[in-house]
Amino acid sequence: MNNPTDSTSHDEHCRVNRLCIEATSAASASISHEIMNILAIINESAGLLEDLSLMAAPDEGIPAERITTTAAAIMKQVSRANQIMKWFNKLAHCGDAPRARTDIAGTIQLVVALANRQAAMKKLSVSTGDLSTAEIESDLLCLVSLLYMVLRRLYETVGTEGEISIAAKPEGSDITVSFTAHHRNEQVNLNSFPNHREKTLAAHLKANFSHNGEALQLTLPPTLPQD
Amino acid sequence: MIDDNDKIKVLIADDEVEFASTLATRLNLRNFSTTVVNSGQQTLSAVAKEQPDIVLLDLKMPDLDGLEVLAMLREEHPELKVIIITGHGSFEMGREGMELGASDYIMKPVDLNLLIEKISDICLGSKKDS
Repeated sequence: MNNPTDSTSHDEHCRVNRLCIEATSAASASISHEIMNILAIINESAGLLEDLSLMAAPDEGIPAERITTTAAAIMKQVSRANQIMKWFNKLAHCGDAPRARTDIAGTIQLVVALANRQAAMKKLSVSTGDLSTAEIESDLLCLVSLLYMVLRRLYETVGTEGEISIAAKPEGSDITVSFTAHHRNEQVNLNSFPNHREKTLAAHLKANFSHNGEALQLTLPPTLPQD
Repeated sequence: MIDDNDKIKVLIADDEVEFASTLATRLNLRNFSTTVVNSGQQTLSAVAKEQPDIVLLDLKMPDLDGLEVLAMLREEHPELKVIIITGHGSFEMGREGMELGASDYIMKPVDLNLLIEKISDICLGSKKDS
């Protein structure tokens, strides 16, 4: 983040921090909700095994098929939680340094994973087609917060069962991330992007929003200039 | 009037399919009659069709938000009993649900004995009152 040198940059610093906290809090809340669901399934599965053992006749035990089916259900949820926690751990480490090198493809995949539950709730199809493997040096926490904010609002904008496509490609030394959205084969107008909050984070990242046809584009510099 | 031998009809509305189906299995083992749905629209249809005694309603489902479903249920079936099931870490959503007319709420992971106690209290109590 910036080292505030005057009241204006201090105010901006506070606004950016606040927005980053809001974005990461929203992601954390969503993840904790999903983990609660996973724990609830494991809890019911374990309870079912207990029920079956209490009901079993002393000399017969629980049918093996019931045990293997229930055990498989538990293992599936452990695997699901493990994947979610890996992404959550990546998010948690985004704030380790004020600036860091990151590959844009990995960052987009992280953000898509963090917003996966919202996409599922709205039955959205989210594809990450052409993702550049180029690296940029940026304020990673702010970048993830901005991309997450844009994605969440895109999900609200596109409507149920919509399709969202995200791409990232180099343009000169910059990286341009493009978002397009379709609903029932019609392209969704994204002119409501960016809003004031998204502009604030983009300004901090020295990034620019633009529209290319119906696509929303975010152009990121290869290196965040020193203040 | 429901007595101890009558099965209480429970509609479980939760988009976590495995949670809903396993909870249903466990309630069935305890002599409840259950139906499972996984979306808000399915919940509204199933209430009309199955006429459950009580709905266990998750607040986060695809299509319709649980609180929206609750508001619609209250309007169309004012006598229907609803227990909110929430995966939120706070009581806030449950409290909001109760303000909209839910009888009670319970947090995930569910304490089955507590849930059964709540179901029995609400359903048997309401039947005795009627």
